[in-house]
Amino acid sequence: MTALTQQLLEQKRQRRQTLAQLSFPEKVRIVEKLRDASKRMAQAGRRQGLR
Amino acid sequence: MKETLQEINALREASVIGQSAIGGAMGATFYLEPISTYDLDIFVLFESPPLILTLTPIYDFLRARGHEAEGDAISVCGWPVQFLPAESPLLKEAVEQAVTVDFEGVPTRVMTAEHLTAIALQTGRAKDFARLVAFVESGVLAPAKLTDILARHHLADAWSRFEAKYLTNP
Repeated sequence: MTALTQQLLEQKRQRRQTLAQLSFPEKVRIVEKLRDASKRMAQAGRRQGLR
Repeated sequence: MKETLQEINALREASVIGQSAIGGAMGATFYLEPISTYDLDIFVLFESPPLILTLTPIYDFLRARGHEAEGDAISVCGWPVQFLPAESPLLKEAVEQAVTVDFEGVPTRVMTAEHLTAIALQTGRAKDFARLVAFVESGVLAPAKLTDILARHHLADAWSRFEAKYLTNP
């Protein structure tokens, strides 16, 4: 593994830790945004005949 | 979500269900980074379980309050909620020992990290193993508590296999 890859993985780990430390309501709001974005992508895919 | 949780508490207050607790991805989200999910898994106990277990009283109660069934879930204030009877000894214990947290003023029960881990191990889908790795890496698990749960629910061997496959550095 290169030093750059290791650095990127470490940054990801720190980002996950930061997110984990948010309050439960804050995390749920993020989950809601993820869910809505996921639904929009699925709908766009269906409109374009991808599914 | 706050309104959804209030409706779930109303089920308990009306004695439609016994104790309940959030599990699944949303339960894990309490301890870890946010995990994308479409629904809210609520594991429920019944005060006096009927001979044939049915979720109809839950659905009837919620429908009467204006909520609509949506596939295998019921949409409660914008969240599809899946009610799952806590039938196995592990699920029953997980609901009984859940912790009460405050969600914007609404008391909410969430399974412990150790029980969520044991349930994910028992369920054993690919996403459950990914969640197990996240739990281990997060450092939120109490090792002695987890070991005790795994031993009592005959999951120690499964945990050893999981450790060997996913946690051993090459």
